[in-house]
Amino acid sequence: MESRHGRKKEQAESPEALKTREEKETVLVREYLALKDTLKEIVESNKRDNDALKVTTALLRKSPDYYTIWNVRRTILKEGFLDNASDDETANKIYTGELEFVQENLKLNPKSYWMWNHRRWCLESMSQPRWDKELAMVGKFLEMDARNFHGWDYRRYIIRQLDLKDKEAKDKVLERAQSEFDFTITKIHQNFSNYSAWHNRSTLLGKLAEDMSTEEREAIVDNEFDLVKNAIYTDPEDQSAWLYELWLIGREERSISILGAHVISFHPLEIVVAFDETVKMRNPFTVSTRVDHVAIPLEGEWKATGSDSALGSVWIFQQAPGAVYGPTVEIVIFSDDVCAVRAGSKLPAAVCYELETLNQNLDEISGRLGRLVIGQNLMYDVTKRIGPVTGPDGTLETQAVHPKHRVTSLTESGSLDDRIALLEREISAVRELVELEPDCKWPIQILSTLLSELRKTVSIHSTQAKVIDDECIELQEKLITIDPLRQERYEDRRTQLVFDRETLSIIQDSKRFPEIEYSAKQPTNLDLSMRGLTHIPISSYLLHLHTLNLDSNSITSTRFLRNLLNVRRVNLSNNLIEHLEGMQHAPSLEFLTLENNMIAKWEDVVAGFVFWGEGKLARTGGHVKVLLGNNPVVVNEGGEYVLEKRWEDVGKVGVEIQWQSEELRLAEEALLAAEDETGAVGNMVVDGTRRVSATVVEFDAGLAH
Amino acid sequence: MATTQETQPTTQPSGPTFQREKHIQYFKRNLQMLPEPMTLGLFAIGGLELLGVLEEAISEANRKAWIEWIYSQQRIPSKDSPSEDDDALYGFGGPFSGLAFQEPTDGQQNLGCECNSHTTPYDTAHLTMTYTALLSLIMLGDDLSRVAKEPILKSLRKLQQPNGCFIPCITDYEPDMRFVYCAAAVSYILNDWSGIDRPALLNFIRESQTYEHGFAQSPRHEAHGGTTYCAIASLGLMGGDAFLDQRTMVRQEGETDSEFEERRARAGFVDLEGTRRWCLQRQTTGFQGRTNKPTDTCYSFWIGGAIAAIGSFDLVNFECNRGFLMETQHKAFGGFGKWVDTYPDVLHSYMGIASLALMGEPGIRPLEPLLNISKRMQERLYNETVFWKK
Repeated sequence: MESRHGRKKEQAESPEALKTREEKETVLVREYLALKDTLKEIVESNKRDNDALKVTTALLRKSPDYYTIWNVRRTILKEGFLDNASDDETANKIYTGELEFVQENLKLNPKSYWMWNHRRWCLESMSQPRWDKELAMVGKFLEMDARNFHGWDYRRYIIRQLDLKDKEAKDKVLERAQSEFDFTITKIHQNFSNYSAWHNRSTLLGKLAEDMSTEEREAIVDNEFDLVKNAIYTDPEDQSAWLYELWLIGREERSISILGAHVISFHPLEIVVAFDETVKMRNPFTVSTRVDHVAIPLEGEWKATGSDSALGSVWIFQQAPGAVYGPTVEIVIFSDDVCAVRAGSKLPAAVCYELETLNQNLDEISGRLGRLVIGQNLMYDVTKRIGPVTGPDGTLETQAVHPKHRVTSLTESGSLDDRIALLEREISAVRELVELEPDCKWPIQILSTLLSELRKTVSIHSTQAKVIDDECIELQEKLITIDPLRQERYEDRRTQLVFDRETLSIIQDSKRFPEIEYSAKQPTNLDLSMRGLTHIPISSYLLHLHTLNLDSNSITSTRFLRNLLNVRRVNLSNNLIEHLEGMQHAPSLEFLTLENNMIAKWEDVVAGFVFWGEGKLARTGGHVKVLLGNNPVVVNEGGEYVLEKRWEDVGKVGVEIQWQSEELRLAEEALLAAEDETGAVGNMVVDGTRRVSATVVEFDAGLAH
Repeated sequence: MATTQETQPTTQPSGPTFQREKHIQYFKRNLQMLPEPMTLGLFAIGGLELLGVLEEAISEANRKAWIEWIYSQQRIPSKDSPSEDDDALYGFGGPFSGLAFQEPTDGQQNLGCECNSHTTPYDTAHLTMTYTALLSLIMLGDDLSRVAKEPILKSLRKLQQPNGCFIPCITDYEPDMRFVYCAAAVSYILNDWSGIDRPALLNFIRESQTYEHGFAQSPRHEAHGGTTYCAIASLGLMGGDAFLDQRTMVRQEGETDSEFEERRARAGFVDLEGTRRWCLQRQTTGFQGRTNKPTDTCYSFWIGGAIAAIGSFDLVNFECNRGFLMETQHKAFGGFGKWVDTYPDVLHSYMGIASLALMGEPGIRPLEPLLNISKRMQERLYNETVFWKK
């Protein structure tokens, strides 16, 4: 919690007080410098007696952070006293004196590293260090400042020393962990906001649970939930207990899902594989073709769409020139082949796709660049496949027969119901608090997280999922109003939830719950206008769309377009776009409406059409009409013009960029609508407007790679 | 490290005014405290450098005198009878010394204090002081030609612990992340990493990443903003694979399992995304140093610098951070306090300005987050010091 206003303001001094203080300080400085000179003499003359020790004592009282003096003091102690000590008792007495000296000074300066270290030197040099006394001592310091990290670090150091001594006696080590565990509860009861105590508690809990039975674990976890509840009811605005609750509940690891695989071109063979989140490829996915029942590797290269071809949710395989493939092509993706960019996600098991390549009727490939082949993917668990395909480690992966489900960070169960029961219990508890404290952000945030965890346990098309999504969207809206500092974060979360809700027709549960996949019948149009979206969270969902309406949102980037391999028309009017990007894999794109955005430079338009050398556009060419009405770029260039820009430096690609008056745009849209109905491919002719050649855009062909 | 052109933004951000002139006066006043202690001197000199007035604030005579004073703190091997016993003692120490300082005779340069038969193990250089001295020398315009590189590297080898961590001096008992950073920065400035057992150091840094994904002083402790900066900046200075993230590392074509594991062992982050998240979650208005602690000026740099080092500074809310810093700057004295309405001190003053530098505040020179010096001085390191100059 922000507590800066709770701090005492340092008062300005009166001129008299200031003068007195300055005089006093001058005296102190003089004394200090004199002592330092004396010490220099002592060191140079090798004096190792009581007088020498006293000088260091006086200096360290004044300046405890002066590490050299601590070092000199240890020299004097060692050479002048300890080396001559007749027995352990004498030595111990000296060390004990040092410990007392340090303790007294620590009270004035509890964050001095050197004093804590001097203690360690004493204890590690003593024959019979009293670690138990140390524990009591550090306990006192944690009473003065319960968050002093020197104190907590030192406490863990002591415990480690004691544990090392009891290496053979596991029960003693456990007993000690238990007692430290109990210590954290004392600290937490003194002040619920002490995160250092919660932190230590979570590390100790793991240690204690190691040897516990399932029942014992469940009991101890229940106890922790009670503790958290106590804390959050005491001060729901304080984050420490909430964070501990989040740790306790744990986040279920997300499964990466493969949404589908399709052939997008036969000559050369091009295959697209779509994931439901951004992944990196660790090993190239295996592609093979069958010849006489023998799988033969098919040479080729995998690239993600976009300018960074090593990272993406949509991956395209292109066969190497001259490679030959048979009637079926198989792709195997092992769980180790991909890693998610987002933490806590992984591909749970290997996936295999078999793609038919026999039916190559070109008539079925409509449009300029070929329709995506849908519904021909056969998905198997690899274990059910016939014939050998080996993973990188030479073995086939098998799925766990009885998967264990996380219930909390410390407990698991064979049944998902236990997790659901726990989440429901916690949700209803937090809900009560939200009712009591409707304007407190923490319970709302935790409720939203708990609901998201619950959502992971149900079918995406279930009523419950819908109810959860609706509630979560409301919670984000509430958070935006009560915690405006983090508005953008909540808006992004809200965008994700809205997007999930609006794209339900595109995906379905796969046979391997909780994984998902493309629905068998893909919609071709999607209207997401006026949904308050800040971005497109998962653009691979939109892979099959022909028309996408994103009018009147708050979208700032067109990067998502890189995965809309099949899109013809996109309406992005009334958004916050400053430059274009991601069009390199939208070969079918014909019409991009960007009216009323924030594009200020022609270069920012052109940049969007830079494509990788082998991209579809480079091979086939294409025309894109980009409507740019009411963007600074057009306004700056003087009004009602249709601008035509062409460049032909790279292959056969031409891009036409137009801006028209509102009247003409409407006329053109009417034309397009008519075209939709009839299915005819119309040629648009724009009459009655001036055509103006714009300045030639410098287009660097090198960018193409 | 990438270098960028020095640019001075010309537009003044809206909101409260940055009291540049007052801060200049504040650092000048603090400089009068020189020659001790050295670390505070670094903050004052560094502050004036960031404020763009270093040369005009320090007279030529003072500049030269301070260079000599810093070199007089250097511990060097005995010319006549170097002893292996002294191998851990080299580098720069605090101003107190039991060693006999040799006044340079005419025409000779001051090289520091030779270790001799009277030298005790406690008469030692200190890693933080070595780091501080090197940065100060660069800023004062020295070419580092009198820095005893080989002896310093020898000492580094003695100061590294079996677990990979560093202690600041051989008599000390504080192996922690602060000295990992000092060792990395010293090696970087000397342009020689032979003083460090790199795999061991990487292992220590990785193990110090907590379950919250911040970095602690050493393994098993609580994540902390200062140590997180030290860990991340060390990885950045080490360069190469050290800045890779184990969680998202990708097997390269033709790489075997054991080769891949070897490469993973050269990566410094266990989970970079987690670290980024932890750092960003420390922003309240300014930044807090640990979970649920009060917002404190210095973490605007410690955490801000760590975020800048991993290339995500654009995710920081500038307006809030700047707003907090404008509140902690002292309206009358100049300088920054730890909290609102507290007296300024030179550490918090430097850190406040360094954080503003990361945000491109007008009137402040751009900052290189890994070494925590201005980009101008980083260029000077590359072009004008003996260890880097081509």
